[in-house]
Amino acid sequence: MLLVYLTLGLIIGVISPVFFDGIERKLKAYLQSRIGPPITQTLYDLLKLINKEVKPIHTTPFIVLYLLSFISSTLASILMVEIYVYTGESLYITLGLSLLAISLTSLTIAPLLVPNPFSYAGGMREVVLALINESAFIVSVTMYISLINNLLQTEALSIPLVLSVITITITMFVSGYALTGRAPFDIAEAEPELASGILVEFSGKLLAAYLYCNLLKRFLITLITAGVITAPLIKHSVFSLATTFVLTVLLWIVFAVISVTLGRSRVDLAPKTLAKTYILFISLSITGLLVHAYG
Amino acid sequence: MLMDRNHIIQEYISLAKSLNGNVTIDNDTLHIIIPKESLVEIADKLFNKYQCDFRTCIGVDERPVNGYFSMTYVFTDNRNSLYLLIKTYIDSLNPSTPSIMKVVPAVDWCEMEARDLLGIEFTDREQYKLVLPPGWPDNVYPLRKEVPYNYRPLLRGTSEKISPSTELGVIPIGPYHPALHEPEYFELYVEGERVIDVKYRGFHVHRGIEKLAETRMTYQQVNFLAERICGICGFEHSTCYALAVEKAAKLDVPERAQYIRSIILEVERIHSHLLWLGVAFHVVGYDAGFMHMWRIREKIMYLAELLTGSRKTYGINLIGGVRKDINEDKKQKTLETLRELEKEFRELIEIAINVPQVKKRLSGTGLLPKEDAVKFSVEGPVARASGVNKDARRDQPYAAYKYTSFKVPVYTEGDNMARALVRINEIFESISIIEQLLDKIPRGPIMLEDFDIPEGKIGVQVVEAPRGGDVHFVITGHGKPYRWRVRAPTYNNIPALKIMLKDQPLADAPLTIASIDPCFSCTDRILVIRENGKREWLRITTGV
Amino acid sequence: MPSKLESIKKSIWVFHLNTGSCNACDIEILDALTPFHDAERFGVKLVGTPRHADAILLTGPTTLEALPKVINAIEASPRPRILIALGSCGSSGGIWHDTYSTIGGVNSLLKILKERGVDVDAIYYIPGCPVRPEAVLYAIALIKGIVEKRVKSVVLNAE
Repeated sequence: MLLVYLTLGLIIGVISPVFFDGIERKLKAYLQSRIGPPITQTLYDLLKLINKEVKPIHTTPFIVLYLLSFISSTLASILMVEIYVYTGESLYITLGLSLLAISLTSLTIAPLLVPNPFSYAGGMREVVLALINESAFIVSVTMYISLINNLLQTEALSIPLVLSVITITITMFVSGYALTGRAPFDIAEAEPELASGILVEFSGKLLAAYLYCNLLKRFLITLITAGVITAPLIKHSVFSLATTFVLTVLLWIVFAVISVTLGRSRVDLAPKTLAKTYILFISLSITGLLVHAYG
Repeated sequence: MLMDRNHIIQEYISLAKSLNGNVTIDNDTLHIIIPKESLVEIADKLFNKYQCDFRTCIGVDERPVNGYFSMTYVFTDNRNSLYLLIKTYIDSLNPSTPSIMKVVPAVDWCEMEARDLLGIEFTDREQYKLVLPPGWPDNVYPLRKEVPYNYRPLLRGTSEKISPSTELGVIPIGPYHPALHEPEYFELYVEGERVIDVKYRGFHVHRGIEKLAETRMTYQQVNFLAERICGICGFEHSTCYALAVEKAAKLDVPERAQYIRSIILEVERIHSHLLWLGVAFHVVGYDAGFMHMWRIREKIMYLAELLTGSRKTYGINLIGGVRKDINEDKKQKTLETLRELEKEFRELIEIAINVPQVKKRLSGTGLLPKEDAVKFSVEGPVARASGVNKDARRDQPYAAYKYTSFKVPVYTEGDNMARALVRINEIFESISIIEQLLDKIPRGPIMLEDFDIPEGKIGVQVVEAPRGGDVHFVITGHGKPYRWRVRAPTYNNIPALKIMLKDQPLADAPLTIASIDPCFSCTDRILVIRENGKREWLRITTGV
Repeated sequence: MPSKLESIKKSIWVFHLNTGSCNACDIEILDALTPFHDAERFGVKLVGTPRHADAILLTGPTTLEALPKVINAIEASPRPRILIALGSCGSSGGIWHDTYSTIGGVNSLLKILKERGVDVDAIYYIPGCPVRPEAVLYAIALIKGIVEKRVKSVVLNAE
């Protein structure tokens, strides 16, 4: 039975990001008082790109390899997160997170292979952001899981522990949000001086693949965030899996709304601000935990 | 004040006389004809001692009339509303004249323009390679009278290949670039994410307007041509042209027409500033701000259509008046729209300018110190944001501006935020100006009937466009202008970009370029490609 | 409409090339994308590089200076690609049809493209000086096949 649910989950994971993006675009349009494209628009875009000519770059084979590596590790990671939500075994989320690290690395390297100054500059910005966010995200997710289990087991309400959980949750959301590459952290591709930055030389199928990979990345990160929230609260069942998916959609929408209300940060500001926030919040959380344990 | 003005005129006259000059006074314009040896001295005195504002210079081919080329330098004395035209004749066989660039740095481009299009050589300065479109034949100067306007030596163009430089430290912006919306080429030399130097290569939109006006057009047709200099601030250009011709021909245009001109000018200013704000928000990634700015701008577009019949390129200006009247019904609707707009704009801009990223990226970036602003004679909001208090609406009152009262916003910070705030304040001022004008508009005709335009007269006019002062210079001819020179504000503002971009983060470059509200199509009537002024560009290859 | 264009009907990505226009058409294109007209609901998106483009907008009489870059940009876009000539200047050269620094309209450009061996799958004309955003929307509808083409082309003075 588990196998059926997992396959179903994987299929949803493969297809749904395309429509989530459609919802996001519709929502953005609504907030900008427009009607906006239909929800299926992203699907149309990808289908069209697949039918278009590819303008070859001489590094295309390597880029394709990296994208394949991204897709395989991302799908594996999605599977691991689903098993974690279903069974509650922390081993699987650990596996999921390490696969996430691999997949993000592949996706970050791909644009660096494109021989174009825009792509190179954009790729470098992506690397800077990824270095900071990835570690913060992985650290905060692991800490969150152990802290929330701790909190659930404590009988008397411990204020330092609650504060500790709150700060680490914020860190998790912020780093997750930043990893999804939305404004104000879309500096690698959306900054106008870079003319679509990392996407500049991709065309046709390659562009479609890259855009799809980005959507898949967003889905995975949102799914992990949603999964670690539901799994400890709702115990090990199909119900838990379903709740995770619903929460994923909700989180995606929340992220979309946040991105509309903000401008774009600058490459020298964003990493500094993020690093400061993460260090502050993570150390606050650790202090809270120490106070709870020894105070 | 009047005593003062007479006094200063006498001073200018005695200055010119002491340098063997010949002065004629024509209302607010002093025509000074000076031998070319004294040119540098008088320019130095006017620019540095009397603090006159340098506007532009004009090369004219006067050989069919008197056998000479001539150069005219336009200065304005903003405190006393005076135009000073310094003219010198240049021998036609060996056209060469001393450059005044040493004393007036802002003259750089327009001297080179005269060299490109008329073949006048300038001594005492570095002259850069004359490049009309790549491959343009030598010794063909399009603005000389014997060259036909439709002379096309290279219809096929050349196969010059522009590809992004392979050097890692060079970030090309343009010619086709999402940050610009117009074809212009900036090459930014970067070290890390910091801009070290800038190379500008422009004039992709040169269409040969001035030549066209002197050959294929008539006086009234040029009005419509002038509107097509620029799609955003076209009405300023056509008003400026009409006012210059009216001044040359001494026409007394009905008051009501002048009021209508002023009203439409302000409508255009509001739409242009809203457009700019939208684009600026878009450049800093705040797309919601962009969309909402353009949403409320649509009201102004409908207002323009109501008042003139077109959303853009209004086409209601003629020499001697305007073609469309404003009736009571339109007046009411206009006032209503403006009230709504003001309310919505006030709410929106309050939110938009306070978005943390917007605020952070506008403040402190793209600095232009006041000394440089004066040196490059920058115009409009760029000048006013750097503490230079000039506005042609107040300094050289034209159309109906002398009947209104308004504040000229001046900020001293000189950064992108200051330039944004100047424009925001100007929108409110413009709304108030339109309300005042609609309130006071007199009855009467809107068009002057029956008039002649004498030949050989000179008219020069400055009109404050949304981007700064437009300068139009007209020498009247038979049935059409003999020479028509247009100087758009962006022409003076682009050289200042070099100062603004230097040592700034690369990510702010598009915003800074956008902050002067560049209007390349205005600037590029004349074809010059600026290779490198100093020939010492840093080639940084350390990589991003 | 040729069948290979069928695929781009539902999602038209546009690259905007100002080939020497006065900006009026350019700002009306942007206007067509903003809330009042909202071309994005038809799947139209402005992209930053010709590599992503399906349609290329030409908004001016093609000045000599811009010509090589225009050809490069068109060449860089993947097929199937369509050209959209905007405004009087784009369609025919407008008032500048014979001045010394332009090549005069999209027809001369097409000839040059043909000489260079750059193929274009379809070309659309949007008249107006400047074009109205409504006209831009009409052109989109025409490309998508929502409305019928109302005029037929007649070639006069064919060389």
